[in-house]
Amino acid sequence: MAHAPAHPGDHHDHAGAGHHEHDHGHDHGHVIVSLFTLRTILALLMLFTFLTVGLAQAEQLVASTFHVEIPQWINVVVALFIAAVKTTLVVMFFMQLKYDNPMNSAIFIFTLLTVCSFLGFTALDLGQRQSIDRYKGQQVIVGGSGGLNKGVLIGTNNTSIAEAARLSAQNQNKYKPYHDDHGVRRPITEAGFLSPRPILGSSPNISRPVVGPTLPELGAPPAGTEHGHSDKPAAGQ
Amino acid sequence: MATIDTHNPADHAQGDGHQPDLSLPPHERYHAAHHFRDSNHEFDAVKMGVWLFLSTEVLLFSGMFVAYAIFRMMYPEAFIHGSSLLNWKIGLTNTVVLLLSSYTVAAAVRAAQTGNQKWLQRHIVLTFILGTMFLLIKVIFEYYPKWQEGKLPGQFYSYPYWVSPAEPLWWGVYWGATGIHATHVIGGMGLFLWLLIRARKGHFGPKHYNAVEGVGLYWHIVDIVWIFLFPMLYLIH
Amino acid sequence: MATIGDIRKPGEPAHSHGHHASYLERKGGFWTTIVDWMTTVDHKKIGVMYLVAILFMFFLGGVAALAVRYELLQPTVMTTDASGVRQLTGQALSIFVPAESRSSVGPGNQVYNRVMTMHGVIMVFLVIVPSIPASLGNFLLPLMLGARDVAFPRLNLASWYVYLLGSIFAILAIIQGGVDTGWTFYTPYSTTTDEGHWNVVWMVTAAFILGFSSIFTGLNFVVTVHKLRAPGMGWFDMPLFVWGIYGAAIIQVLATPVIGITLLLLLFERLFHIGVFDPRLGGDPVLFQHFFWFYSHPVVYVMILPGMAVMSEMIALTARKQIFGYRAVAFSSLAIAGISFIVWGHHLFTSQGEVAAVIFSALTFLVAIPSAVKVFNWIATLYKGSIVIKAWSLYALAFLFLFSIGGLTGLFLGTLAVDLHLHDTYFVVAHFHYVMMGGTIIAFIGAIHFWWPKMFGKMYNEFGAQLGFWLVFIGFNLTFFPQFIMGAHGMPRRYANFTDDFLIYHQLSTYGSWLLGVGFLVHLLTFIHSLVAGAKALPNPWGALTLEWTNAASPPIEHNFDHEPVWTHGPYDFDTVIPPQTRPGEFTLPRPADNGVR
Repeated sequence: MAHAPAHPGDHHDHAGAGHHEHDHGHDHGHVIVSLFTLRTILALLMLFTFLTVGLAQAEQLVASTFHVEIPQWINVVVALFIAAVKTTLVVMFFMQLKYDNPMNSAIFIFTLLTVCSFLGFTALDLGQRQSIDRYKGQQVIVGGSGGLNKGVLIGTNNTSIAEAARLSAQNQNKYKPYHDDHGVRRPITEAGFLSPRPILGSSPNISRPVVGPTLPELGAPPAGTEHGHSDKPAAGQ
Repeated sequence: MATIDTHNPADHAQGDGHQPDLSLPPHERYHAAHHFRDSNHEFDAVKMGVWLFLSTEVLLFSGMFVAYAIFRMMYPEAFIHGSSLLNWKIGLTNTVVLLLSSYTVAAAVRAAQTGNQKWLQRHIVLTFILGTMFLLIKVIFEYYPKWQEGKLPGQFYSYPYWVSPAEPLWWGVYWGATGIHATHVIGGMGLFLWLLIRARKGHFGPKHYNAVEGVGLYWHIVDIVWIFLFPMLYLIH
Repeated sequence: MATIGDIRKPGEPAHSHGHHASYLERKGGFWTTIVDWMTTVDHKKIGVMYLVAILFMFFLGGVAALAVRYELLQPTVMTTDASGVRQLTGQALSIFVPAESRSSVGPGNQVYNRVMTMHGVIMVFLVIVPSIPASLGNFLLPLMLGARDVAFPRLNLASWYVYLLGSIFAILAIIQGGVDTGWTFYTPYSTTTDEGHWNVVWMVTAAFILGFSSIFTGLNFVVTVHKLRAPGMGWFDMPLFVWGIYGAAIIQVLATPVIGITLLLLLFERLFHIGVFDPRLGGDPVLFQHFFWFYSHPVVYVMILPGMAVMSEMIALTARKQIFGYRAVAFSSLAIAGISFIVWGHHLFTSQGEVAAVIFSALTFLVAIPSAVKVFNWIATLYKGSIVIKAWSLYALAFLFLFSIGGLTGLFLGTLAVDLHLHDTYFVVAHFHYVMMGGTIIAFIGAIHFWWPKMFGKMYNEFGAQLGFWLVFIGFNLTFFPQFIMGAHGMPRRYANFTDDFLIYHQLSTYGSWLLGVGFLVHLLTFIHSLVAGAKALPNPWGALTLEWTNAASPPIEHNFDHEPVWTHGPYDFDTVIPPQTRPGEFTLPRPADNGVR
C-alpha cells in the first residue's frame, strides 16, 4: 500500500486568485470579483426592479385609460421572467456560480427542476378538478357532512362539484360581492365560506346517515331492542 | 476539527517544526480539518455543503410558492384585490434595501479575499443595518397596520372590504410567505453578528474565509426569495 | 495483481506502527467515557449511537405492532348474557379504556387508532428513514471511501442530537396519549380533531425536527462522496453500497424540506386556522396530500435504496463473484432517486383529478424499471457463483424473494383501475410491509450481521443467528402474506374490527407476528451474547475486498486507517485479488476451469 503523508495539513495556501495544484482540475472559487463587476450587477438589478414595477404600473394605466384588459397570464409571465433574470444575475455574479465548480450549478439547477415538477404536477391536478363521475354525482352533498346544507342535493346527476357549489351559493344569495346594489358593505361571514364559529371536530350527530351494510349491535342499542340475544357480526358480506 | 493555531505544538504549517508563529493573525494560522487534504479541499467541500443546504431552503420556500400558485389559480379575484391592498412602494423600498444588502455582502466576501479587514467589518455591519431596515420597514409599515386593520389570515380576518370570500386565504399566503422569509432574515442577521465577532478577532483573511462565503451565499438566497415574492405579492393586477 | 494476506493476530491492524487504540476503547473513567461519547465527532461512534437508538425505537414500534395485531386476533362482538348485561368482547386494547366507557365500541377503537398511528410514526420517521444511512452509512461510508471521517463531522453530531430531540417530542406525544390521525396526518381530520389537540402538535413538531436530522445526514453524505474519496478511486471504483447511499442522500436533501413546509403549514392550520387546507375557508385538503406525498414518496426510496446498497455488497460476497453489471446497478440508484420525485400522485388515486391520476399511473411504472434492473443483476451475480450460507447471506437471499413480491405487488397498486379497488385495503399494507420490512429491515438485519465483526470486533454465534433468520423469515411471511388475500377481498386498512370471513387471515397474521417477535428476540440475545462472550473477529472474516475490510482493523482505530489508502483494485475483483487480512489459504483465487465466461 502506498503511504500518503502522515498528517495531512496545510501545505500550500495562497492568497488571491491563482491556481492551486489540485488533482481534480476544477475551479475552486478563489476568484475575486472586481468591485466594478459587483456595482454593475447592482445597477442592473435596480434597473430590472424598476422595470418590473414600471411595467406593472403601465399595465394598470392601460387598463384604466384604454379599458384594455391585459390577460392575467401575461402579467405572470413577464413578472416571473424579470425575476428570473434578476435571480440569474445574483446567482452568477454575487454568488459566483459563474466562476465556480459546475457541480454547484448542477445542484442549483436540479433544485429548480424539482420545484418546477412539484408545481407542475400539483397545478395539473388542481386545475382539473371540475369533473366527477355521473355515479358519484348522485351522492354528493354540497358542503359535505357538517356543512351548510345538510342533505340537500343540488343540480342533476351530471353536475360537477364546482358547479354544484356555484349553484348552491346562488340559490342562497350568499355569493355576492361586498357591496350590493345599494353600496352596503356586508361582513365576510355572510359569504358562505366562513361560518361565524368554525366547527372544530366532527361528531356522529352531524354526519350524514350511513347507507349500506353495517355491523349491528356495536353501539348503544336502538330503542326497543334491549332484550336480546348474543349477536355476532353478519357472516359473509 | 478545523482550528486556528493557538499553542498546540503538534499542528503547524509554518515549517519551523515546533512553535506556531503567534505573531501571525489568526486567519494565517488556520488549519483545515484532518480529513481534508488542505484548506482548498475543505473550502470546496464547505461550498458544496452550503449549496446543498441552500437547495433545501429553496425547496422549503417552494412549498409556499406552490400554495401561492394553486390558490391564485383557484381564486384570482381574491389575489388581485388582496394585492391591491398592499403598498407596492413599501415593497419596492424593501426590494432595494435587500438588493443593496446583497451587494454589501458580496463586497464583504471580496474584502475577505483581499485581506481588507476594515472594509470586511464595515460591509458586514452595513449588511446587518440593511437587514434591520428591511425588518423595521416590514413591521412598522406593513405588519402592524395590517394587524390593526384586520387583514389577517384565515379565521382572524376581519377587514370589512372584501371582493371574494377567499381573501382570508390570500392573507394566509401573504403572511405565511413573508413571515417565513422574515424569519430567515432574522436568522441571517444573527449569522452576521457572529461573523462580525469573528471578523473583529481576525479570523478571516485571504487564506480562510469559509464562513463569510457561506453566510453570504445564504443571504443571497434570502434575497432571491424576496426577488420572487415582490412581484408575486405586490404586483398582481 | 494479487496481494497475499499476512499471518496476523485477529484484531491487529494491517500496518502496525505501534498499537493504535480501537475507536471503542475507553479513554478514562466512566464519566470521561460518557462525555467522550456525547461530544464525539467520530463517525463510527455516531453510527453506533444511532444503531442503538434505532434498534430501541424498532423495539417500541414492534411492541405497538404486536398490540395492533393482538387487537385484530378477534373481531369485536357485543354479547348480552342471560341477565341482560351487555358486554364487548374481542377488543383487546380496551384494557386502556376506563371501565365506564367499555360498553360502546368507540373508545376501544380510539385506542386502536392511536396504537396504530404510533406504530406508523415510530417506524417511518424514527426507524426506517434513518435506519441504514444513519447507522451503517455513517459507520461505513468514510471507511469504504478511504477517508478519515465524513465531510462535516460536527454536522454529523448535530444530526444525532436533532434526532434525539425529535424522538423526545414523539415520545412526549405518545406519553400524553398519542394521536389517532394515522402517520399520514391527513387533513381535515388532523387539523380539526379535538382528540388530543396538543398531541397532534407535538407529534407533527417531532416529525418536523426529525426532518432536519435527515437533511444533515444526507448533505454530509453527498459532500463526502464527492470530495473525500481515496486517491485512485473514481466514481466507478466505489463500492455499490456508496452509490446506493448517495442516491438516498440526494433524495434526503431535496425532498425533506417539503415535508418541513408541509408540517409547518399543518401546524399553522391547526393552531391558527389560516385556511390552506380547510374547505370552509377556501382551502383544499387534497393539497395537503400533494404536499405530503411529494416528500413521502421519495422517502420510501430513501428507505429502500440503502437496503439495495447493502444488498449489492452482500450478494457479491454471497456468490464470491464480480457483481454483474456494475454500471447498471450504479446508475439505477440515480435513476430511482430521480424518478421517485415524479410519481407521488399514485398515493392520491382516489382523491385527485383523473388527468393527473392517469399521468402518475404511467410514470409509476417507470420507477419499477431500475429496481428490476438491480434485482436481475443480483440474480445474475448469483448465477454460477460459489454460494456461501451464513446468516447474512440468508438475509440477502431472503431480500431477493421478499422485495420481488413487494415490488411486483406495487405494480398492481400503480395500475390506476386496480388501485381504485385496492386503495386503503390490506393489500396496500401487505405491499409496503413487504418492501419496507421485507426489503429494508431484512437488509438492515442482514447488514448488521455482515458488518458486526467490523463494528465491534466480535463474532456472533452463527447457529443463533441462522435460527433467528428462519424465525423472522417464516414469521414475516406468515404475518403479511395473508394480508394480500384479505386486502384483495376487501378488508380495509386501519380498521380495528372485521367480519367473520376475514377471521382466519387475521389469526394467521397475528400468529406470524408472534413468530416474528420471537425471531427478533433471538437476534437480540445473539448480539448481546456476542458482545459479552463472542470470539474475537479477524479484520476480514468474510474475505471481502472493500476498504473497510482490507485496510481497517476490526474494530477500526480512531482515525480509521494508519495511512491514507490508495485504491488499486475494484471492489468485487474476487477473481484476481486474494483478500488481505484473512487467514492464509482461507480464500483462494478461483481456478480458470471454474470460471468459464462470467
